[in-house]
Amino acid sequence: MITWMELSDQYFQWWQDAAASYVDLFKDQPVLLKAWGGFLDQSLQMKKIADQVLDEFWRAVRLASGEEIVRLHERLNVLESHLVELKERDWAEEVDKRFAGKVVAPEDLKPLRKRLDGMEKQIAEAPADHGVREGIAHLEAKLAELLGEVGEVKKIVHRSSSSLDARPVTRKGATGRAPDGTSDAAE
Amino acid sequence: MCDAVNTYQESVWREVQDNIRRAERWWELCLRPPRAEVGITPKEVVYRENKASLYHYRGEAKKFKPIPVLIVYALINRLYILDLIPGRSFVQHLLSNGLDVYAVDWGTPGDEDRSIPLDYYIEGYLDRMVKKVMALSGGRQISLFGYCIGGTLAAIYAALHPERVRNLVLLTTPINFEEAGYLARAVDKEYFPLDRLVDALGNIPPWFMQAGFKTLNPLGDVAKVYNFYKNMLDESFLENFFAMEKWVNDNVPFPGEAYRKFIRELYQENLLYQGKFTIDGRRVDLKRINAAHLSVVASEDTIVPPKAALCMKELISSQDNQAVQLPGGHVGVIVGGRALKTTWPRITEWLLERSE
Repeated sequence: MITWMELSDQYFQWWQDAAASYVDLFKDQPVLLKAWGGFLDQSLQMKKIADQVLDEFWRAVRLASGEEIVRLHERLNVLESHLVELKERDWAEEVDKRFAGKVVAPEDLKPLRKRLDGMEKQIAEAPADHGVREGIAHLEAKLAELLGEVGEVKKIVHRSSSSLDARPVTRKGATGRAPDGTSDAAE
Repeated sequence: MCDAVNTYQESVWREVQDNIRRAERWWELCLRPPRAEVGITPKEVVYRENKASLYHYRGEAKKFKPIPVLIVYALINRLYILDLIPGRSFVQHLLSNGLDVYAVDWGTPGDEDRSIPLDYYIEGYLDRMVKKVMALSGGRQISLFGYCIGGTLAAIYAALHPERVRNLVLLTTPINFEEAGYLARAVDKEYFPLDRLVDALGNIPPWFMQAGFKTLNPLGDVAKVYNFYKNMLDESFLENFFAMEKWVNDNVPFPGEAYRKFIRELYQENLLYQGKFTIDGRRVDLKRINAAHLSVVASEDTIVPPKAALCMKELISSQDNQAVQLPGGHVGVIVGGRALKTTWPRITEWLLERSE
């Protein structure tokens, strides 16, 4: 004998299967998808205009617009990522690579110095917006720490550069990424 | 005849009594909504960059396998679906079998993260996390486990750095986006204003993503309510139900530029499958993957239909190469009741055999 709940299960399953076939038929209609796309397009255009008006208003009352604040935070993010990249880089390997290629290291470090100077400049030029001030201070501290590390590496390179020619090659020179990007032998 | 009537009467009476108990339970749940404790396995953050974190899970096994497992989760939803509640934690299952588990948590992107390209998620965050895992484990190779879009990211990474990946496990991972079913049709370039969306919204908000998934199965919510009504006297069902509800409604925005590239180049142009997809200017050739590979697809998956995922086996050059279809939907295949007996042992055994 079928119980009440089993009966209701059967009925529900039947309803679900029947309704699903109609829903699938409906939701896949290109006309519907096109109408939905059009509606979305119009709504987004209106949102963009509303955002622009709001930004203009904030500028008019001499406050940073949402867009400007976001851009500022974006720049901080990029700076932080650069710092993390520099921190995580295997410096011993970097120095080793330079020895292996028998390239005088202090010159090699120039681009790095330039990059760090550029970052310092970026930080210095960033508007001292209240919400971001702390972030910049934090990044500056990190940068100082990192510059210290770079200085240490430089010292090692200077110390070793005199005996550079006598040093045996311990690792194959680092090759760049292949032009088509499919070779990964360097790594 | 009389017996039949009596049995039927009893069944109706039992149902009436159950309904009274359900009403009581419903009232209790309204007064004291249960708080689902999720993501319970102890873990520590071993690396952090911007919003992204790398977790190292702490297991109780005395000795771990030398090849660590790095879980790469999708850029939508939260990682804790793999570590839901006690008894429903895939992470816990891996740990208890002696696997050393790490996981990538992409965090919650803010407006300031809208310009981070998909390339940086792979060659920036993921690359550094893989290196960190290798440094911490002392090995030169790892096992990558990718779920959904996380699987796509893992596959791309494995193609760019095959020497670092010993094993590649892809769970319901879209590779051939032409076969991605309704989602592919919904974002067709003929209808979908992709550029306007990213330009106007920046990050793609959770409600938008959520709406897309709801459209996939509009009757899903009705079935959910019906199941809840039916099983609301079962405490273990409720615990799992509320944990799942928490996860389903705990979405994160999809970073704008990453979304633009993901939808345009993968969903609309299917470049990964065609071998024309590029990351940081490097072509992603899936043929370069030589790691041991296991693809797990779900037979009832509507988000990533089996056809969209099974093709991975044909595209790579691995000798040890498997693809299996298991019962369940996109999420059920890893946290459903059946997953504990099918998906979990299958993946764990496969990894254990290849992690020495």
